[in-house]
Amino acid sequence: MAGKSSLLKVILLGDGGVGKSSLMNRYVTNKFDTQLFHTIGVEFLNKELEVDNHSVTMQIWDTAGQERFRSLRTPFYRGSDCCLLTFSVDDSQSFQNLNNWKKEFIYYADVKDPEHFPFVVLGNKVDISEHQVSTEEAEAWCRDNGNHPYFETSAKDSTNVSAAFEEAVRRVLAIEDRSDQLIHNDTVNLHRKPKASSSCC
Amino acid sequence: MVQLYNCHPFGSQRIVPTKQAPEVFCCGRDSVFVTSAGGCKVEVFTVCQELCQPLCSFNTLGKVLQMHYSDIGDYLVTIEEKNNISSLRTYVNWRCQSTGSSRVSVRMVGLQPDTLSTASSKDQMEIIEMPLSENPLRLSCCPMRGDLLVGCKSKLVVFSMKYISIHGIPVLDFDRSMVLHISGIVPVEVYFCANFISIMSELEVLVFRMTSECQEVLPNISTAVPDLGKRPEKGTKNTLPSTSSHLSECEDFVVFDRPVELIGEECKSCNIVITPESTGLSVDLRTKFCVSYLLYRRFAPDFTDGLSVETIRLHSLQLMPVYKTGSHVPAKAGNTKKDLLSIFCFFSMPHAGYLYSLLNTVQLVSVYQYPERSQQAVLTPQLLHVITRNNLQCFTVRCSAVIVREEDPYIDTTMKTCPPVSMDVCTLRMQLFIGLKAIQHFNNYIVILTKADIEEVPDKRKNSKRLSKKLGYTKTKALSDTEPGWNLYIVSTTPPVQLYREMVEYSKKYDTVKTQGSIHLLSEAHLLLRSALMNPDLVNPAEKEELEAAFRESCGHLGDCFSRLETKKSHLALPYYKMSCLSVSEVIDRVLSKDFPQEYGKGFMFYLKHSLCEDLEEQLSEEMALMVLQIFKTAEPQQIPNVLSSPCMVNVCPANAMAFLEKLESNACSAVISLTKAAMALRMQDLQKYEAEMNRHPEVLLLYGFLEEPRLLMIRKNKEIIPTEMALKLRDTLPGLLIAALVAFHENSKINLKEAELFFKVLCQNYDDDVPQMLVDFWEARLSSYPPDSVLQDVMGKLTSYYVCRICKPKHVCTKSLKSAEDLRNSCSHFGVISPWVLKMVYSGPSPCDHCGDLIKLQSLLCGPSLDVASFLPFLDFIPQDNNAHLSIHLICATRLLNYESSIERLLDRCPEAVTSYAKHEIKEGSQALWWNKLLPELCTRIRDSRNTNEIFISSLKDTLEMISMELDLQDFLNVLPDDGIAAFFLPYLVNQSDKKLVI
Repeated sequence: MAGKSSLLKVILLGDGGVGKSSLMNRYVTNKFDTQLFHTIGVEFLNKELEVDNHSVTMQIWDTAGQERFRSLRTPFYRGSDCCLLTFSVDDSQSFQNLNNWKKEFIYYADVKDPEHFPFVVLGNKVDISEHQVSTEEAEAWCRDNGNHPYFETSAKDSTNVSAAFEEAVRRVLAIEDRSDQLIHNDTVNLHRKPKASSSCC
Repeated sequence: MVQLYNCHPFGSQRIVPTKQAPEVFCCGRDSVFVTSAGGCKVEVFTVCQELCQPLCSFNTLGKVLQMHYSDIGDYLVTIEEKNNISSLRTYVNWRCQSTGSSRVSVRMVGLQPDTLSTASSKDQMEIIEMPLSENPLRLSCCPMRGDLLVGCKSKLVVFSMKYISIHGIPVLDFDRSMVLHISGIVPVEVYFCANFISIMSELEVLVFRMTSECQEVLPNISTAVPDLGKRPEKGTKNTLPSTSSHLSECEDFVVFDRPVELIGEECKSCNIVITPESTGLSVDLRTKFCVSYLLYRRFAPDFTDGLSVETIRLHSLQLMPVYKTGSHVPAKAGNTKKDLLSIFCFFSMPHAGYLYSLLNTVQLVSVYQYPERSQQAVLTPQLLHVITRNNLQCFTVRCSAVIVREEDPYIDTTMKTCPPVSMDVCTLRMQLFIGLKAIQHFNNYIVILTKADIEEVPDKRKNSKRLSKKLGYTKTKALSDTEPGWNLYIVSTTPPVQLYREMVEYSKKYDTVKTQGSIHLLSEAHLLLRSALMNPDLVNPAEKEELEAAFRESCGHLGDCFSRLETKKSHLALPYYKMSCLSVSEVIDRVLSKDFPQEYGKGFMFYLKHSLCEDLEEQLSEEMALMVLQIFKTAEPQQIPNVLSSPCMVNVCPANAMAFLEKLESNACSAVISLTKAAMALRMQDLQKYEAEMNRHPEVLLLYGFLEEPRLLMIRKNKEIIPTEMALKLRDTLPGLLIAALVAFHENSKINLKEAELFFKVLCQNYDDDVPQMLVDFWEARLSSYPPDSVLQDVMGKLTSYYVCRICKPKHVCTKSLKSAEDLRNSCSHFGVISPWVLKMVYSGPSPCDHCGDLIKLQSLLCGPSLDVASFLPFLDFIPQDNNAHLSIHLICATRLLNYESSIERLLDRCPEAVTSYAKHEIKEGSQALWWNKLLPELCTRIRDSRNTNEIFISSLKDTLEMISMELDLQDFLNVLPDDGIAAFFLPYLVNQSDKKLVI
């Protein structure tokens, strides 16, 4: 089973401390560690899952949110299939920075068509009672910036984590016909072009 | 013709338990790496003993197109493809990835130490992303340094491996140390080893070497740039990477370049330009690098199997390093230091493989003709493994024969030897496998991938796949049903000793028929052991001992073959037996135990003669000695005297030996036979017989006899020279003959001066520093035989030193020498006539020792033409001047150095009666003025001082005046006369002088 699946690169971006590594750990290993270290540079984990009958290997790239690690993380944006923009609902600054993260990603990932690139927005730490960012505020931002799906998650109590990641996969598969990325592609792109355009319609 | 044997170089085989058909695999150290999951996952299996178990697996970031494991650094490097972009990545710490679901850290090549934390790296797999400006095409890791070479379309990039310490933990990283811009070829394969790089396209191979100093002027950047500008045209023409594209595009004509082989400088005409550009990053590569071409070959496509690219092109490029044996010190794994001795380069066309040796001279070692089209080949130090569609073949290699000669220029002597490099290679085995696709080698294993009947099903598969894609379904089950026919095997190669034994057994099949076959197979087996012994990783002493024992045994077998078979190379029996460490008796036993007792092979006789001639320690038993005599009686009877003189034969029964000699003598009498008989008689203590034999020939003939067999007189043992019983006898009875014989030995280089010295000291039992008289006699006799100048000076030095010692030692034991000074003077020119003034001096005082004649000999030598006085001067310090005899030596030297004035003064002081004799004898043309300028005034002064009473002075004055009056004209004569004195004394000389004038 493991083999015949497509490999999707999903990257987690957001300010330091918003819980990117915790989200990844929760999703892949179903664990939560309050004492997690800062991520240095870039790390990733693989998660195999099946979404709508597609067997997919999701490669979740966790990045260092701190500004000083910028040069270590940006080279790895390229080739991402989906970007998870993450903020913490108890930190309005992290929400305001989403714009910058999106810009940084588009710039370094060299995204050809930013309009249609799948972003998913995650408001983490909803288990904390004092919210600085309201759901409405976040949804408004998502709507204004390209109609991105928004999930309020908690890595601590596992709220919405799987749903968010699965949505990311769904977005990728929906936006682009990924069949060419399925590995047995001895068949070359002949049918692909017309199909891609048809999906636009 | 390729000899085919049916040995068993392959042992057990294991199957790598992959779940899916392997696509790319590689191996190294103890592991096999296989890609699966459509190339996005690497499974690692360890191989130990009979097992092959999964070790770990990890996901890659893209589909692996190519991967390579480096033992040094323990890293896996891949070329991966994702979204049509090829990337180069290195996986380190992959052993941590046991589950496949731990966090993996990713970083760019070129670490900034300060940005890394302590927590990372130790127990986490890391991926190093190595971006390149061009798509990477081929990879190669240097097996010596772990450096990485990446071939792109127009450049080769060298990444040097390094460890940087981050908080005390070594972290692996690379420096992009050099870029080599290439034009004129697009690499299909590359290989990197030490500073050797080889690149290969479909039909071309180029091997070059990076050197830090330019030995010759290579095109520098400024000239290379226009070159580069000009070349693309050519480049693109050649670049059309496959001949097939030519074929498909222009059906009318296909033009190929002529096949060519260029070596060294010649390669410059090959249209491939390599321009190194150092990035200045790596420490050891900071120096400016130059490219020196070693080898270029271009082939014509091989159309034997049709026109497909796969079947006409080169494959399996490989550089194989060989390390110095013995230089390797066992160290911790991964930290071993090996000195490169040689590099071999292998590449293969479909029907022939080529093996070159590269280090000192580039030479083609072997060409392998395959019986059918090859797919891939791997060269190991011991064997070459080649796969064809359905056969795994194993060929022998000549690497060890090349290396041995590289390491030891004296390999082909009577002491040691090795089968020739030019010996035909052979096939040891052809093993059937179905659908062989790829082969790799590591340690004692070869890994082979088979995929059966793949060509037959692809259409069906492709169709179904396309269908499944459209449906958006994966259909793994369906696929695995249709491809049951693959396997990844790990085949152990037979340990060299075991294979060796099998080859020896095999060779015995040829034993009864006299054929070259057994020599060939045994030589192959011998080379196999040699290469196994060269393995720097051979550290287990027991294993090494086993190999060495087998090696000696193989030398013994080869010795047997060469000793028995009539070949042009039967003389090789000698070195092989020597290397086998078998004793002479053992060899004789071996040879005689075979079924050919009646005739002894040329090789055996050569071995036996040589062994008996050499100064071996081994003493044969009486029976064995008799056996040897019988062998020689049959094969070469005239050698018997020499055989008997061998120290090995010391236990021979003299009576038996005498019988053999008498039999021999009955055919032809000779001095050496008589002398040998005399020696045997001595051993039997039959003096009468001895005398009779010695008197049979005149001394001159005896001398020739000794010269023919010096061992009658002296035997060498551990650099010592031991006089024989016969020599001792001669010392007492015929010392002259003995000395003449030794002189003859020296003249004929059978002995040197030092050895002669030793001989006489032992002979005369003179173990202290004293020089035995016989040795002096020998030196003197040697001088009389007109030796070459170097020997002359040497011997004269020894003699003068001896003489000086003797005359300085007043209380010595007088000896009688063989030759008197008179004899010596008559026998050679080196001893000169002693001047009368010297004799006068000697007789004027007490003589040191008349009896020995050493003083006279020394004076005679000093007066002779050969002795260089300057070299004698240091001795003068030891000679006192207390008596006139000793003083004479000083004065002879002074005179020969033209110090007449001082000599005259000394003589006037010490021995005035000799002064006029001295003056008459020594003052020659050109220095006559001494008579009147020096001697005359000195004499006058001394006469005045002695108040005219000293008769000797006055008589000398008279002689002097007479001499001067003959030399000077009147006016001058008058001028030199002293102002005082009685006129009557001087008048006669004036008259004499004017008479002379009148006569004129």
